[in-house]
Amino acid sequence: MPPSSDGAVERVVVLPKPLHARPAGQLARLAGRHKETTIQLVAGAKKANARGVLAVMAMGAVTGTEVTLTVTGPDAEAVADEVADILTAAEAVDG
Amino acid sequence: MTAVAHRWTGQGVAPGAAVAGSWRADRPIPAGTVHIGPNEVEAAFAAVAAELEQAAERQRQQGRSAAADIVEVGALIAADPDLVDSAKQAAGAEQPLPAVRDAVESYATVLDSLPDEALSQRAADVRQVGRRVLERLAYPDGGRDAPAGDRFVLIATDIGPADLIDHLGGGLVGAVAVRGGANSHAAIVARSVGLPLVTGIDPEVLDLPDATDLLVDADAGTVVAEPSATEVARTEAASAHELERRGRLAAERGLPHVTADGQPFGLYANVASDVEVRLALESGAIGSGLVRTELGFLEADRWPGEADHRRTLAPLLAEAHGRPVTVRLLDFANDKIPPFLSPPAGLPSLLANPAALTAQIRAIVDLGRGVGLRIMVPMVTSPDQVAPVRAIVNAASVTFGVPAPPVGAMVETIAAVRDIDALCQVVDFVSIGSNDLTSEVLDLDRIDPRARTELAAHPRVLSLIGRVVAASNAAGLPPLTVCGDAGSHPTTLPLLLGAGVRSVSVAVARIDETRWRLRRLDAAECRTLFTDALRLGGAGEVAALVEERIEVAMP
Repeated sequence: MPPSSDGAVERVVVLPKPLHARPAGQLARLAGRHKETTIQLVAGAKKANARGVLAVMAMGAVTGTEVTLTVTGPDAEAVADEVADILTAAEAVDG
Repeated sequence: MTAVAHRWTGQGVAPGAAVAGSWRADRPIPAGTVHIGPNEVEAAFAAVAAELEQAAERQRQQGRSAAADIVEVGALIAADPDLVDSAKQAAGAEQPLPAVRDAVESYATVLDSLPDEALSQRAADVRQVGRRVLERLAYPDGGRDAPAGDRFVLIATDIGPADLIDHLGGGLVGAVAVRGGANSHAAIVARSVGLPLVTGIDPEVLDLPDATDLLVDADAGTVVAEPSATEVARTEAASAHELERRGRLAAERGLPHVTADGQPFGLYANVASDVEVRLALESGAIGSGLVRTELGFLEADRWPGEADHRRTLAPLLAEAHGRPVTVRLLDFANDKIPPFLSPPAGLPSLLANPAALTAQIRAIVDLGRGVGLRIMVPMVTSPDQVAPVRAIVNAASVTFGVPAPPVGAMVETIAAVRDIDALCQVVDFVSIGSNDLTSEVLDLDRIDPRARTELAAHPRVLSLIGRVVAASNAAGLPPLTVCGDAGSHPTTLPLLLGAGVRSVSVAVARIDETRWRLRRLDAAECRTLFTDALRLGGAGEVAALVEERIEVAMP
């Protein structure tokens, strides 16, 4: 989706896995690396800023949930890609 | 301390013994006014985040990636801007410490209320972060930062897995809790890392001043304050030996799974939670040969619905991503019958409730798409019990657009063995449940303590196992797995290998030991042993024969 007039980039992803602590943590780290950029997630009636791992987990987004992400600020396009990657990546395998 | 020797009895839920100074993890925050403001609160959160980050890094360097991930969640929570802001605002209250605690608790409560179990469990992590922050604020001199001395025994009312993981490699040698049981996550973690844990101890143990000499003997289920020099010496010698033994067993993780004569074997774990999956994979298990699905529903007042199954299975199957996983359908039998069913319950009651069966199968099939999924039917007594399950599995697979997973039978009744050739024609795999099979063959009550694992070495049980292996092979099914304590027992493991078994699924804490044994057993020798054992009269005679012929040097 092209950037809108205010520079916001919006994407919609359907979660292939629940939004548990691990992806929530990856999002918080990503947000921490891009302090000037705001990453907002919306799932149904719940909203969260990606910098807060608790707010993201509190959305209770499970597999199949449609999540709308809105990124504003520097590198919005690239950051939005990374957010979408985190939300749609398969769980990492241990060991 | 008074001069009275303090001795308490509880339940040892993770074996071993240790002695060290005590350290209470959940010391209550002091009453009275403490002068702190938002800056102190912010600094405390930052310090806790840094401390947990370092703890996670330490775990990672020691190759404990699962433990590191668990601790790292705490670090991220301590750095959460919303949480920190709300705690900073609370610091303006007249009684700042309780206000900060309440602020943290409100975040924990939100997570608690989520239906997804993996998410609601994070509430405990939030509380743990809050506890650490409050301790920093209440003891600004750092007196509560860490236990005194380089070794300690952790004491708390409740112990969570993170309480233990946090201090692994940091001097923790044992733990004592007032509450909790053998199936708690803390107990699972304690067993897998070899940390003695005694639960069910009288709350007066909480009143011991920190650094009281404390002996934890989980084998005896006892806790002794200020033990005698003799008791200390004996315990220390035993625990040093145990530590060394575990280290040597764990050193073989990653070595090829082949017997002494080059036969490949499969090593899987029996699991019921995501924590066990993590620990099992870390111990080098290939996957899970038995996921127990009924344990969360033993107190249920009705059949679990699809949402209930999804809640309990999702974290576990996410953790096992990419691995082979055999999920067993609800096994409400013997000592595991919930209040809404009456004995004998078991498979017939599940088959008589197609809605209940469908609910579970749909959850398994949908959530299992990320793993190498197989579905196993427990306590099968007749080949015609498989078709109704397969029909539902196939329908669910169509609904969710996934290939139908293999459907197999857990052979653990005499009736199933009697009909084994016909059974092998209608399943995609079989597994053997050695515990129940042994109990039935020898007419032991499953919950009778006499139903000990070594009785699987009885010639009558062995001949049935041999028959099942032969039938499975003749039908061209994949190598069968034995899921039961026999798969990790020194007497029965060589006999299973001799019977042609090439795959076992064992308790998480037994993985290292089982790999060690299998790598040193010679399958051809075990074959002769098995043949000779069949001619003997009882389990005792077989055990003597195994002892005479098979010698696996353990560390």
